[in-house]
Amino acid sequence: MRQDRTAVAHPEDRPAVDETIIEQLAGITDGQGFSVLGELLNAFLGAVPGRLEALDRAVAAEDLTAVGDQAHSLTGSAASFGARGMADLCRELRAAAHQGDLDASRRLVHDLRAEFLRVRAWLISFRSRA
Amino acid sequence: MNVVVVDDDPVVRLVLAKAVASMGHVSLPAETGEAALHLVETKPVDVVVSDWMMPGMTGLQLCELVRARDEIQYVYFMLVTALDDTEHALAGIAAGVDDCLVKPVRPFDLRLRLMVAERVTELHRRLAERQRGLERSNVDLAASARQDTLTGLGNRLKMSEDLEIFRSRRDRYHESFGVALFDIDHFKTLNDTAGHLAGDKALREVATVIRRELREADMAYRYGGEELLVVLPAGVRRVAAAADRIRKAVEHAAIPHPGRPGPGTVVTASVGVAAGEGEAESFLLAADSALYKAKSSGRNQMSVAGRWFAIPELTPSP
Repeated sequence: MRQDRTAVAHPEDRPAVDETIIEQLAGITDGQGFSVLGELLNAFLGAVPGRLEALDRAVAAEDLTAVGDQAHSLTGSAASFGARGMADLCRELRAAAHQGDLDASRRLVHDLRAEFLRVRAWLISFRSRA
Repeated sequence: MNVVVVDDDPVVRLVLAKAVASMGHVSLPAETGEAALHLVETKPVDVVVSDWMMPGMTGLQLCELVRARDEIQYVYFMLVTALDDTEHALAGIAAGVDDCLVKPVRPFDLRLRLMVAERVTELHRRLAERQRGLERSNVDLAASARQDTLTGLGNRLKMSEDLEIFRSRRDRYHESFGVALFDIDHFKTLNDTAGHLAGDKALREVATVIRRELREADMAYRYGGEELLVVLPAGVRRVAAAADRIRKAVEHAAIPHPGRPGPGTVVTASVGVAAGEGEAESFLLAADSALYKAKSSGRNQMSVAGRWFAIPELTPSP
């Protein structure tokens, strides 16, 4: 996995979301054969803001263990929706938290929020295209 | 298939659960390893798709607990690990994981792996069925090897085994037991006049009467041609009382005995009783002597090998 700083410093160099992953998710259907992508996207978009707030609180409380746990949990969600930039930031955040680097953690949570907005915009535009 | 999907992250869990359901399976989502184990224990689960890292029980621990239940049901276990996590994948396979999936799980991969899982679990199911069938026929064989085919009572093999059990229980726990040896009166005449089929039929009916008169702990065997042995866990008085009750029941069953010499035209039996200390062999000898005495004293009666046993209420007062 790429974990170098430059990739994260310029996340807009690549799309916020890997479209092939979203297309795979679009293939998941309910009993009647209808795609459940909308439901999945809503679950993702609905869950992440709460996670970001929890990260904010953990950073404010300087609780780096909680930061690490939250970051790990968010990695899975982000990766499942093809949000590679978010997933990479989560991994970096987890590493920073493990190293006890509060400043880096604070900065990465900030980056993560910005990256989520990009992901969100991408997903909403995908939904309107679909 | 019934597929348990375990992930502590609700979003990932939802994606996996929907993907599994989309492939026509029943998805059972679980938030923790503990909840997943509960599902495996209470539902007919075929597959578990589990995250590795979870708060509480890890995917590996869950796998070990699920594997411990292999005797009861084979569950196909799929572990989800990070891409570069070869160490966990290796440890997982070593611990009994059937397949490893890389995060994030692609629905198409999951579909392929579940097809394999279906094939493997089906094979396991058929194997288990065949195994159960073999075990059943082994039990049946063991039982039929100990049963007399004509009367349905135990045969000589079963008798020797049971007598050994009765004897050891008596010696260890002082639970007395006794034997009653029945012989159908004028059986040869019955065979000669009515034919062997009629003889067989009479023997079967006597066996049925005996079985009906017994209690659960009492046992009955075909000892020889027309000799039937009953073993009861009781002292000589109760054994004698039971033997005489059975003798009367045989007479009252009114099984026809055409051509019987002397009075009456129904099947009767004589019986010799023995109980007390000593080896089973000496019991059988004593019962046989008592039976001979019953026969020579006019048949359709009981004789107790009383010379060695105190049975005041059955011995006529001098």
